Amino acid sequence: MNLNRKQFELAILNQFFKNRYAFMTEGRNEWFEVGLKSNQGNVYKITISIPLNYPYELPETAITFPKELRGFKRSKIKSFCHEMHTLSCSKSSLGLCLFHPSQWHPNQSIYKVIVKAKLWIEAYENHLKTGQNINTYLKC
Amino acid sequence: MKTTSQGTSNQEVMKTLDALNQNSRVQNLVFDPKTGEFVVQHDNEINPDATTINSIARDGFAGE
Repeated sequence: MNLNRKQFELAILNQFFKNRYAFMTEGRNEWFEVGLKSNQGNVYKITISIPLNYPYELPETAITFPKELRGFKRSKIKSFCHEMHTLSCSKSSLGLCLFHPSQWHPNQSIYKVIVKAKLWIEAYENHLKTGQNINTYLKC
Repeated sequence: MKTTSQGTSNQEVMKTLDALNQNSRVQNLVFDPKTGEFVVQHDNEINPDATTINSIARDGFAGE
């Protein structure tokens, strides 16, 4: 991510997610780790991986805590599932499908990614109560 | 409807999101940066530090 863009993203996050995120780098890899609390009070960590050509390509978002999230009645959450808005799932993370690639454009922001991840979490916690698919709540 | 100590339950958040998706908005879905929570509020109740996220919520998620 270029320096100007990084400063822009960090300024927004400092306003709305101050002390709730960390910007991490390792070599050319960059990512954000964000702590989110659901309205029910449960704590999640999401990891947003920044592609090299961000903001022209959408970032990947995954829930990395708690590990191995389960669905209604402890059912396994499927990878690449439209009804649950998931991408690749592994033991260590659950990929979230927050944007259709055609929806993404360079004026979107990490702030928006985080807000959408939080909406996914609220829908997920409703799914745990009712068994309804996450797509029932989020529509598309 | 169960409500958290901060005020808005996640059922209420989803109900408001559903209303937004059906273009029948009566309340706003708001992100409060102080608590990190979503809040459902009328126009005249919105905290000046908070930000309305109606348009983000209505933006939709990836479809098939």
